Amino acid sequence: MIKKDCQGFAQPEGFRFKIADADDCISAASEAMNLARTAGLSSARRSMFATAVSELATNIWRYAVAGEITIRAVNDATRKGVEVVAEDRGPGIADIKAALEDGFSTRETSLGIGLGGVKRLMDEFTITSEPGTGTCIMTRKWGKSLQTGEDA
Amino acid sequence: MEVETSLSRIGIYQTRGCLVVPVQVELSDDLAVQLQTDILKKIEKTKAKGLVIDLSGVAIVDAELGQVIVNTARMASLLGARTVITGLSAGVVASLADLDFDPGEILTAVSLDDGFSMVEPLNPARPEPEETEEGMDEDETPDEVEMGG
Repeated sequence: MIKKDCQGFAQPEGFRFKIADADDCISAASEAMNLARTAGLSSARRSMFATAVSELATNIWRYAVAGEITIRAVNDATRKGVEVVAEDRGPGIADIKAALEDGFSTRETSLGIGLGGVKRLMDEFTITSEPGTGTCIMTRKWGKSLQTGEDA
Repeated sequence: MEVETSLSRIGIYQTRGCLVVPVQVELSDDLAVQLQTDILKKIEKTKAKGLVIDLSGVAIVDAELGQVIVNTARMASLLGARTVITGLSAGVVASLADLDFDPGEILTAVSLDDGFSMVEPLNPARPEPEETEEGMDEDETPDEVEMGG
């Protein structure tokens, strides 16, 4: 179900990482850093994108049974950017609005710093989730304008 | 300068009465926890009074890693090593702010030199916890200036 919802986002040309341990999280985040550099994002924006990827990957590792991170370069008519899709087959989130508020976590062991932070780090954020099935998050960070070369 | 490569494969250097840990790789949570253990063991062994953790080679610090770093600084302080984190980039601090991360009361400095001057045990400029501001004593009590010179 969730898989199908994500198909519009996760394109085959992206880098896909299965997330099973801490090393997978840092691999995905490091590759996100490289991808953002190639896409021309400023160093601060690169850090923010890679940190968001790290947060999403860590969430999968800690709280889901299994999941993947896919990152890829994107562009619209005017800008270049980078995208990450995080899919998991974890417990799902019943109340998405609450999950985006700071201090919310679905388990007490979590640090309580979660999706709200990822949303602030990024420029676009979409989430679909079903309790018992899993969660899919698609989020993008934009970089330079194709016309002016300035940060979007 | 004494060099010892720890189990985390990140060097812990002993110099000027301090330990210096230049981190030039992205840290996974596991690696950071291993490094924390290595640093604490090394402080115990050397009785170092200062610790400089330089993160200028690190671009990705998420909330969990930030927490491990802050905890390391706190534990090192409890072991008697005044700790400063140096080299945080604008991107890293912007990310931590967006994550609503609470750094607590840790010392930070932009450059390694500034960091050293804050924690070096023999440095007269090293601020004591009681003092409100570095250098205040020099202006107000001439005796301190003579002792320093």
